[in-house]
Amino acid sequence: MLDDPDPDEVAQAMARLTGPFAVRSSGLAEDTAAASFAGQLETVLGVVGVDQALAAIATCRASGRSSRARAYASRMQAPVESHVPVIVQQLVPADLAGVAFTQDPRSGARAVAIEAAWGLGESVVSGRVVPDAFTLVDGGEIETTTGSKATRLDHREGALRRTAVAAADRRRPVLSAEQAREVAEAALRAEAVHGTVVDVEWAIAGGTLWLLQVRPITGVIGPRERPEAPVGDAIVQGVGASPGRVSGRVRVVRDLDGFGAVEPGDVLVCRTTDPAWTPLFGIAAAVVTETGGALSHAAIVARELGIPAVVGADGARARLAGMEWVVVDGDHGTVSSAP
Amino acid sequence: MSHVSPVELLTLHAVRLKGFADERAVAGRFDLDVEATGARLEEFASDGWITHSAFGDLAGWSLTEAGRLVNETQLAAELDTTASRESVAVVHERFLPLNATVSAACSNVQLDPAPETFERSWEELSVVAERLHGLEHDLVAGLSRFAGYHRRFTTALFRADDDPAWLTGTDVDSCHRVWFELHEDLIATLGLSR
Repeated sequence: MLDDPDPDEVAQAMARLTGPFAVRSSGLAEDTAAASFAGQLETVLGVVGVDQALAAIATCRASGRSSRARAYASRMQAPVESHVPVIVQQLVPADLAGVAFTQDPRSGARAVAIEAAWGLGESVVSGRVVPDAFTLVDGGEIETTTGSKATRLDHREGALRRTAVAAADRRRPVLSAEQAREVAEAALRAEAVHGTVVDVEWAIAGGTLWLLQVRPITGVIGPRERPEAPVGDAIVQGVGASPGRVSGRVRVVRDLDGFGAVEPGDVLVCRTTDPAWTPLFGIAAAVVTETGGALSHAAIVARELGIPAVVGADGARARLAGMEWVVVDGDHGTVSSAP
Repeated sequence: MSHVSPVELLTLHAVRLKGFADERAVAGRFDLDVEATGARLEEFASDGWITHSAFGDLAGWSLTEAGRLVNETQLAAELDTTASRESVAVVHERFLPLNATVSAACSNVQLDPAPETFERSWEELSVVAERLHGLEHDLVAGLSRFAGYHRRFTTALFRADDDPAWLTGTDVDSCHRVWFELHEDLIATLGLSR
């Protein structure tokens, strides 16, 4: 639907369906596996009648031009949407709903990961509630983590209503083992049709499972592998507190008076840090401290700023004082001489 | 009756707590007049207690080693004249196990992006926030300058509900930043080392 929709055609098409409707954009770029526009393009739920549908279609089409979607597209180097295809589908009055991935989005492992909550799937998709999580591995085993599911969204008496979920329903899993398997099987069938790992939006209404949307999975984190250990012996061994590996010039700083000597790209080597040291973290390539552990304040600040950190590296200042360039390995907790 | 610290002490201590900050941020820490604070900072600099430096587009004041000693001497004297060393030390004892909780919660959020982890850390920090209210109450009974940590921590916690940067971010007054500052305040006040 790349041109302005003809109201009569829309009315005719809608006459074949039973309302209320869900009107959602299905970006062209959204169908590529490189970037997922999940949540970037608009969905309008609970649409009734042709007039509302035309307004919702206009909203969805405009969403491809919103600054949020454009910024995301340019960051992912995806084409900016100028035409947004729009789907009008029956709103499934879900008792429970959610999403399913045919690859674990956290670990990249081969598994079906399901998130589910009460009511319409919007609660899960928007991140409004903490959903239940079900992970199914090949052996058929189901790992269940029960979320809090504090509220639910439903379309009732002609309007969308968000209401509180009763305490007992918050604490019990929304899917039975049998239902979780049914969702997983449907997701795997969708994967077979598309020939690639997918995420699906699903809903169960009156005991019937519906697949509402299927998209290729993007942004999968591969199984996290530790990078290879650096060549050469470690001069200093500590605890890897913030990941990554960089080389830089050694700058041993004994106290506050030594701050002025630190230059951008230096490897900051010190005994310990307090709040005064934070700006140094902003210019250093890496940080090595003699005290502290992976949970120390220094480690937290380093992770926040994305620089490798080795903490609890006993004798670091003395051993590194004579060095010029070193390699800091924040995964293995080592400092070695630069090749 | 809670002791109100003199402005000179508060100004130098604000530099200590902020670590590296411009005069506006230093003044803002204890709600002091910005212009008067700027003049006082210049004096401290000529005494060799603080130094002004710039890293790229970031410029600010930080303590020198000499200034750090002056700060600790002032804090120790205040602790003795107000007879509050014992009560602050007790609070520090109660602070330490909570510090472990906060550090673990912040680290978990950074290392595991799963929403469940965020939710769990958030819950843990909200329990800490309640305990912090009690700690601050006991500290403020002796020294009014300890006021505000609970309010800032709770604000950050509520903002984190919408924007996770408020848990561990370094460029907002996040839970971790507020907590890190309280840790530094207790250490400085009791003259301890990390």
